[in-house]
Amino acid sequence: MRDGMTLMVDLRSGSIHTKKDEGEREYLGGGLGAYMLNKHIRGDVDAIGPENVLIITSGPFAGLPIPAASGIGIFSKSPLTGYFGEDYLFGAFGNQMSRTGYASIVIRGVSERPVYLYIDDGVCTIKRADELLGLSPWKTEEKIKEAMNDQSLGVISIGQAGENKVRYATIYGDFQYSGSGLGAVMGSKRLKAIAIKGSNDIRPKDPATILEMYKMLSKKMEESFVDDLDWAYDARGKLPANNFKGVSSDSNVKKLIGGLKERELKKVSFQHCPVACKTLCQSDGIVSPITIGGISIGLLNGIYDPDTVIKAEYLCHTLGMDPRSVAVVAAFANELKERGDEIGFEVGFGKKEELLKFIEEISKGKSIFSEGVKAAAKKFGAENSAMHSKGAELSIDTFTDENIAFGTAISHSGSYHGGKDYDTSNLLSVMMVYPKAYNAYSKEDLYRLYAAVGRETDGGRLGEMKDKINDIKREFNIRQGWRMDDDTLPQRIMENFFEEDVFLQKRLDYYRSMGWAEEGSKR
Amino acid sequence: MVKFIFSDTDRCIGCGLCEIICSWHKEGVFNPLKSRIRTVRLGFADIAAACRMCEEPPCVPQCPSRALTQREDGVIEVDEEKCDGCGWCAEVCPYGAINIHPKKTALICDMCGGDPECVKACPTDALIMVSQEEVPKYLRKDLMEIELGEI
Repeated sequence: MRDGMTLMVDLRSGSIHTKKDEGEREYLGGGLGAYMLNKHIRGDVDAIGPENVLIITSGPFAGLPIPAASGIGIFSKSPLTGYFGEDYLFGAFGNQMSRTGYASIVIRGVSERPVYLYIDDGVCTIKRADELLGLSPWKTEEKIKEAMNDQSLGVISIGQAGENKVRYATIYGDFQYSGSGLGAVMGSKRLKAIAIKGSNDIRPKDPATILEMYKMLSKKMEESFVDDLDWAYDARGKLPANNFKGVSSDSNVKKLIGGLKERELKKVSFQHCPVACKTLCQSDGIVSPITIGGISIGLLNGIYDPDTVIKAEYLCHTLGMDPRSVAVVAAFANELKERGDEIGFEVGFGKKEELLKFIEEISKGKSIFSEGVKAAAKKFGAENSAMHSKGAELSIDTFTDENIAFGTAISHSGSYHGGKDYDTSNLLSVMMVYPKAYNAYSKEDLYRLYAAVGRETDGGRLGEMKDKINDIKREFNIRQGWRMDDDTLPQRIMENFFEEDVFLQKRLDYYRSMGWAEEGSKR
Repeated sequence: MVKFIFSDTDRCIGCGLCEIICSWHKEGVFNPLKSRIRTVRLGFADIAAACRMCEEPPCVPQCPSRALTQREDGVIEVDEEKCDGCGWCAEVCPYGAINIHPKKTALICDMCGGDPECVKACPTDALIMVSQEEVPKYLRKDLMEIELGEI
C-alpha cells in the first residue's frame, strides 16, 4: 500500500518515482496541495513554462460513502492570474485515486510528444497521446477507457483550448470543469489526460459513524441542494446583463431558464454525490451539461435564446474552455465593439451566430482574447470594462450575492465558490467536499467524519491547519507579486454592495482576523 | 415471479454508492471491485446491474468447477471452496452482473436474504425489485443510444 505517498512524474525525462515527505504529513487534502505548491514553486516562474508544476491531491473522504466528498484538488501557478491556482473536481478520479493510496501526484517538466498518464495502483506509465490530440475531453475519456478496456477508470482531460494554452482552459472530469486556467498548464506540458484506477480497500476506523452520517447528510443535501438552473431562476430580477452593465429582466431570465428546463434531457451526478447536481439539456441533437457558465454566456451577452446557450456551453465543454470566463471575455469584446473599437470580430450583444464563431476562434489560442479579459483590457485600454478579480473572469453570482463578491475579492485565486461563512467554506475545501454541499455540512460534521476516517487530529488542530493554509496561499501570492490592490472588485460589482470606505474597512477587518498586517501580507 | 434488483433509468444518477454499500455489507470493506452490484453509464443512461436470477442461467452450466448452483428462490449460490475465479460465469452473463473478487471468487447478488442493503441506501430510490417482465418499463433505451458529441 502506498499510504500517503507522493507520485512524482517528470515528463521531460520520463522519470517516475514515489516518495514520502515528513513535512507533508501535517497537511491533508486541499491543504496538502497548497503546502506542496508553495514548496515546489519558490520564484516567479512562467505558468505555462517547464518550471511550473501540476499537483493533484486526493481528499480524506474519497472512496467512502460520504456525500459529495469524492474530491481531488488540482494546484498550479495559474496562467490566468499569475497567482495561486486551484480548483476541485469530484467523482470517479477522486475515488480511484484514494484506492491507489497516493496522497498526491506531482507532475513537472514538458513532454516532447503529446502523452497521457495511466496509473494502475502502484504502476504509472506515460503513454503516447498523438491520436488523442484535438479531441474533446469526453471523447478523450471514451478513447482511453476503450484502449484500457475499463469503463470504471477515473479520467481527467483537456480539450483543444488546453492544448492551445488558452489561459482559461479547463481540466474536465465527470461533467465538471476546473477554473484557474489549469487546463493550459496541462496543455503546456503536452499532457492530454490522466487516467487512474486503484484496487485497494478503504477501511475507515469507525464505519458505523460514517454510515449513520451518510444517511443524515444525504438527506440534508437533498433538502438544501439548489442546482444552477434553479439558482438562476430564483435570482431573476437581480442577475446581470450585458457585461454587468445592467440587470437582466425578469421576463428574459424566465424565457432563458424556462426554455432550458424544457430542453432538459436528464439530471446526472458524479460518483458518491447523492443528488442530481448537473442538468443535461438537449438541442438540435446536441447534449450538454448546463451550468452557471452557460447561463452567464447568455445573460452577459444579451442572448436569452436557450438553443444558442446550449450550443455555446456545449462548445466550451467540447473545446475545453471555462464557460464562466468565455462569458465575460465575449461580453467584453461586445462592449469594445459597441464603443467602436476595431477588434477583428463581428460580434455584438444579442448576436448569436457571431458569438458561437467567436468561441470557436478564441479556443485556438491565437487571439488576445485567448489570454483572458485582463490581458485583453490592457491591450485595448479598457480596464473599466474588464470584469475580473486578479485576472480571473467573474462569475455572475458575484453580482447577486455580497458574500460571494467579497469572498472573490479576498480570494487567492480570484474566484470563490463557498457559502456565507468563509471559515466553513475553507474547511470544506481542505476536506475536499463539494462546495455546493455547503448547506448540508456543519463544521462539527466535518470534524466528526474526520475522526471516523481515523485521522489523529482534533478540531483545534484542524482549525490551525486551515488558517496556516490560508497563510501559505497568501505567502505564495506575495512572492508572485501580489499587492493589496489586487484584493478588489470592478466598480460594476462594488457599487451593488459597498461604498468604497465600507469595503476597505471590511477587507482590513478580514486581514486582521487572519492575523495579517494591514497591507494584507503575513505578519 | 422471481424479483431481482434493477435500477429505474429515470431516477438513477450514477452516484455508485450502491457498490460501496454492497462491498461493506458483504465484505466488510469499501471497494467497488468487491461489490455484487455494478453501475455503468451507457450513452446517457445510468444503470445498476445485479444478478437477474434467470430461469435458465447461462452461468451455472458454464462453470468448469461446478461451483454455482441455483436455489429454488432463484438466487445463484457460489461455493467458495470450489470457485477458482476463472471468470467464465462473468463472461457468459448477458447482463454483466457478475464481478470477480480480486481474491478470485465470483460475486453474485444474493438479495441479502430479501431485504437488500443497496436498495435501502440508494439516495434517489432508483433501485427497485422487479421481475424480468417489468424491466422494459424502467429502462430508457433512448438515453442509452445518445452519444456525446464528436470532435
